[in-house]
Order: sequence, then structure tokens, then C-alpha cells
Amino acid sequence: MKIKLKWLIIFLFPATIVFGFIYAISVTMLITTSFTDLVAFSKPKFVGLENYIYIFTGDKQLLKALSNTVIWMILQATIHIFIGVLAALILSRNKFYSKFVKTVYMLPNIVSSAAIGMLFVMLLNPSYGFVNKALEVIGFQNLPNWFSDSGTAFFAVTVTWLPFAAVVTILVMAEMTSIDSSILEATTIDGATEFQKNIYIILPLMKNIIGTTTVLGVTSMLQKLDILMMTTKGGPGDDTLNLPIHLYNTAFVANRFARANSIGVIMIILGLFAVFLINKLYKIGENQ
Amino acid sequence: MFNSSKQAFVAIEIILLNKIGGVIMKLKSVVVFALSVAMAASVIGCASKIAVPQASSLGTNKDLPASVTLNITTFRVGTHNAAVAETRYFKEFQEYYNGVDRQKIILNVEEMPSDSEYYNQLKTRASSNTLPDVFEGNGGVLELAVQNKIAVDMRKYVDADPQYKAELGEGAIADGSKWDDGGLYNISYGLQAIGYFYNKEMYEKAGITVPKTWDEWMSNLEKLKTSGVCKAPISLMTGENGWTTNLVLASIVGTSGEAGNKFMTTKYVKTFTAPEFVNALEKVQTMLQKYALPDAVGSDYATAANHFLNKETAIFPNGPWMTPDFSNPEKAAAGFANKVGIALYPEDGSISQFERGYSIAKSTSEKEDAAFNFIRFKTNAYGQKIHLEDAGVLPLTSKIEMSAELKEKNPLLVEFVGLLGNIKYKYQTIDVVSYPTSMNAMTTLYPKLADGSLSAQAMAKQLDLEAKKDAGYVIK
Repeated sequence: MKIKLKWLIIFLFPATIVFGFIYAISVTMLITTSFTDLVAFSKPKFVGLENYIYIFTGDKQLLKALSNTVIWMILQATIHIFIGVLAALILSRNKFYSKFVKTVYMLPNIVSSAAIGMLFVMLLNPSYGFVNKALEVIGFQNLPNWFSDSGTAFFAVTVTWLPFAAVVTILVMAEMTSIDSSILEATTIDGATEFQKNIYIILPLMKNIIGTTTVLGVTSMLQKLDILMMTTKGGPGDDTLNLPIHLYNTAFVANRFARANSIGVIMIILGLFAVFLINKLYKIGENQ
Repeated sequence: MFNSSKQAFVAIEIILLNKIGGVIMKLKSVVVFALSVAMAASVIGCASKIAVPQASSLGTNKDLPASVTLNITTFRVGTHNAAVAETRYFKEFQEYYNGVDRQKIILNVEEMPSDSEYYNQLKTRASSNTLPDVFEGNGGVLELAVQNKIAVDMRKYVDADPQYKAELGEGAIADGSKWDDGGLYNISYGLQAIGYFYNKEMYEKAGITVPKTWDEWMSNLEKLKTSGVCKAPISLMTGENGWTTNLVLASIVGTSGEAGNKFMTTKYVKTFTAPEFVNALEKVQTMLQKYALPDAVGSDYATAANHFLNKETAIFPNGPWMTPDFSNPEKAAAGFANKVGIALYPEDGSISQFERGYSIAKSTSEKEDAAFNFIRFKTNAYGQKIHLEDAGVLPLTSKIEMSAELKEKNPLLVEFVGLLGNIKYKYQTIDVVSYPTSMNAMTTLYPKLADGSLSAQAMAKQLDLEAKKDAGYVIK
């Protein structure tokens, strides 16, 4: 079917304009002001690489925020995706429990992140939270303040998003419906077990969607602000500090907009690198 | 047919767009009309305008200046304890400046969900020159506005109105003039005097009285703990802005002699490693570890307050505006108000500072004049009375008296006002003496102080490092 270029341009034009105004201009301003000394209430003045030199040499918290963010990106790319894919493989068998489990598993992804954060604050409250009370009943003593103890804060915060991979599950399950049934029938006839079918047939065919969900999951770690603001705010100390929180503090607490924008540029570069790496690893879009 | 799901999706998208295009061409006139209506509606509905009361007499006074619209932003909405007072201000202001007896001033009010969101918006809008005409400059906002000559010096307005000047009082005017150029850039709306509340019944059962010294304070905490009258002696919190913990910290420092009092009355202290501050941090560390509930570390104000209101703790540091909560059936059991006492801190100390108040953003002279009229309405004797009656905020001078009705409704407030004459040490809150970056860091450093992984001295040094990150940091 030949599509007229004229209509293609006309109908893509509004989206392009919106993208331009909302993203392109914003990113351009972000990058250009990162080379200035812009603070709240002032006019910007060009200072070259001063902000970048400071954040890499004088800002100890940036290195901690960067390392925490990268660790979370790796965990998201591995454990989170693994849980989502595993759930998809199990739920695709369409057993009697599949619909119920799918619905329940989806619930945390429907609720807003800020609400999830508040919920976990209450669940993990050391005085009246359900988790500590339940652990006490089964005999545990001296339970920690999960979000405030140095030994448990990182783990507690990670648990608020890592297991909830319903979006991965849904997307992989949707892709699985496009597998030609004759392939699976052939493997059954050849005597392959369920495990062998999953490993040698289904998972390789799901490579693209798994890669796509990995990109979505990893880049979501560059936006993780809401849950952290509701729970630890990057503490205790800087144990759970990530790049978005550090950017927020630099902009709205320290009032250093240009320095915050330079952190933003680093986040963009990190995100682009992650997308490039994942595309290379999974060979997304290449013929199978 | 398609090599990948992506190609299929793009093809479907293009087909749909073609079909939509055809339909749009046929419905062009309908679409254009609908879009116009939608655009008009969005322009009209951008911000809420307070309904202007109709003038009682015929027509408007043509000798008055032309009407002005003021952009106001407020966070005193919803469940904020001053929301009722704020609504009343807006309504009565517009009735007063109604275009009949006085110039018509229309308030274009935008509501913010919280004070932190309010201050973040101010900083963003300053960059695009869209500050509200009247703003509150806490959290370093006013410092930056004055530095960049965006705030208006209101001295000429105040000097031109001797009665209003007397209603403000010398103290509030001096407080608003603490700028390098001596300009009057902020006018306060109330005095912030803060002691602490305690459960009289628990005190009696534990056999203790209001302490006179900090040693007695610590001893009382131990007695409350061992007596078992409460789950924990004191409601501390380190989340949000660490409000109750920082009140105690400020009080320990502010009452520790001349040096400590000077520390807590200095804007942007030179260093937090002063011995008075480090010693106070050590006492707070002990309180967090031994005399507060486990969730004190990391908890917010609501959690800390609920522990006191539910009789789980015996002491709650906070200001007199909280007193209505004790007789609010939604917050406390019946009769709880009768069990609550209020006191100054040991060594007769109390937070005593003027609220930062309101400032005017540079604009046209007509808007600046109207903005001052708004500030004057909020902060004159009548405005202070509304704040006292509806929000429990103490007035700027002793000239404003409590009504008999308020005295009967709020005996704790009366009791606290009676204590003010006994104050020996007056000092300010931690956020006044700290840069916002240091203040923010306290929230994340308190947990490490509480679990012992950070010493008081190390925390003080870290606060010094955080201060240097602030855009307004000045080497002293």
C-alpha cells in the first residue's frame, strides 16, 4: 500500500510540534544553561565547564547518587525483568488461577508510585507497621526501622518497586500470542518438555519484547523520585540517594539551577548509553 | 505479513490516521467550532477568581484609581490550620476594596497543595519573571529575591501610615529590615512563640513536674520511661523538616548561656561545630535512642502528633496553634484537652521570632501599591486579630487582645500567653540560623545520628559542608 508522503507529513506534524515544544526545546535549554551559573532569581552567565568540573570533583554526593542509580538500573534490568518474564511464562499456561493472579499482580502498577511509597511507609513502620508486627509474632526480635537504618534502607526502598513487574508480564504475554502455534505443536511432537520449550523456543522469540521492556525498566530508574521522596529522601545519609533526588536537591534546595541542569545532562547521557547497550545486547529489531 | 510487531503497529497507525483525516475533512466545521469552545473555556478557567461582591450603592466611584488584579498564591488551603483565616482574608479584602469606596482590587488566587510546592514554584517562576505579586519568602527565597533586586522596599509605604506602623510595632519592622541596605522587604503577620505541650496526667503518675533545667528534663524523660505511663516519653520526628526534634535542639542550644543564645539568634551561623550545638546534638541523640518511639526516626509530623494525641507519648514540642486539636473529636479523645499542659523549655527558654511574612515582587507602581494594600490588610490590627482568632497565631504587639470567646474556647493559649512574660532566653528556629541545604541534610543525617553510625561532631561538620552548597552561601 503506497502512503502519500504529503498526508504522512501533515498527520505527523502536530506530534512533531508537540515533541519539539515539550522535549526538544526543553532539552536544548537544559544543555545550554548547564554551561552557565544560573541560580534562582538570577540571570544566567556563561561559565563554561565549571559546573561539570564541580560535580565530578567537588560533589561527593554525585558519585554516590550515580553509583546507586546504576545499581538500581542493573537490578531492574536483571531481577525485575526475570520476575516479569517468569510470571508471563507461568500465567500463559492459562490455568484456573491465571486470571486472578494476573489481576492481583497488576494492582501495584495501577496505583500511583507516591501512594505505593506511603503504603510501604505504613507497612514498614517500626512502631505499628504490619511487617514488624507479623515478624514479632513468629519470634523475631530487635527489628529494624527499615527505611531509616543504614543496613536496611537500600533493600527496603528497592523492594518497593523491584518485584512489581506486571507491565513486563503483560507485554511479554501479549507478544507470546503472536507465536505460531504450529511451532509449539512441532516441539511437543518432538518430545520437548515445557522447560525446553520455554528456553529454546519461546524466550528466543520474545527477545525483542524482553529487550524493549528492559529499556523501559532501566530508564524508569532515571525517573525514580516519587517513591524515594515518600520514603527515605535519599537517606539515611546518602545511602539511598539517586540522581533524580540529587538533581531535585540541587535545584530546589540549593537553588543552583545550572548545576542541577548539568546533572540532568549526565542523566540523559546515562539513559542514552543504557538504551544503546540494551539494543546491542538484545539486537532489538534485527531479524530472528 | 509483518517482519515484526513494530512494523504492524506503524502500519495500523498510518491507516488509522488516513481514515481519521478523511473524517476530519468532512467534519471540519464542527471540529473547528468545538476546538474554539474548548480553547475559550481553558482560557477562562485557568485560575480561580474570588467572586467580587456587588457594590451596595449605585455605580462605581469614577474618582478612584483604575481597578487592579493581583496574582496571589497560597498554600493555606484544605486541612491547613490557617485555611479558614486565609479564605476569610480574601473575601473581606475584596469586600473592602470593592471599587465603590476604594479602588477595586481583584484577587486572582492560585492554590498550592503544600508549602514546599509553593516555594519550589516561586523559584521556578522567578526565572521566568512570573512571580505572584505578593509572596512569602521563606526557605532562602526572599534572600535571593533581595539579592537580585526583585523584592520591593516597603519602607515608604509603612512610613506614610503612622497608625499601621504602630500596629506593626518596632520589633516586626526591625525584623523585616535586617537587610544589608536596611530596606523593609518583608512584613510579618504574627509572632511565633513556641514551647511544648505535656500530658499532665502522665506527669502526675510519674511523679514529675515541669523541669527547670535540662538535667531535670533528661531525668524526667528517664522517669517517664521507667514508670510505664506511656509508650515513650517524647514525640520526636526526623522526617519532613524534623520539626519537633529541631525545636528541642534549638532550645537546648538557645538556653545554653550567652554563646548558645547568640548561636540561635544568628542568621546563617558560621559553623555548626560550635560546642553548644554539638553538645545539644548529643542530647538529642540520646533522646532519639532512648526516649522516643522507634518510628521517631523517619516519621512525619502527623505520626508524631498522633502519638501524643493518642496518649502514647507524654511530651510534644509545638506551638500554640496546635491547641484546637486537643478538643477536636476527630483528632483526640473527649476530655483530652483538660489533660494537656503547656510550658516554656528549661531555663525559661522559648522560640520567639517573627514570621517571615509577606513581600512584594517588582511590577508596575499600580500593582505594587495594590499589593501593599493587600499586605496591610493582612497584617494590620484587624488582620492580626483574624490570625489570632482563626489560626491561633500570636499578634505582633501586645495591643491586640484576645476576645472573651477565644479565652473561653482556648484556655491553653491564654496560659501560654501568660508565660511569655517569664521568658529568659529567646531564640529562633533551626531553619532561620541554617542555610536551606543544611536544614534539608538534617533529615537524612538524623537517622545516622540515631543509630550511632554518625557522631554529633561528624554531623555538625557535614552540616557545614552542606551549607557551602547553597546558592546564597556567603563566607563569613
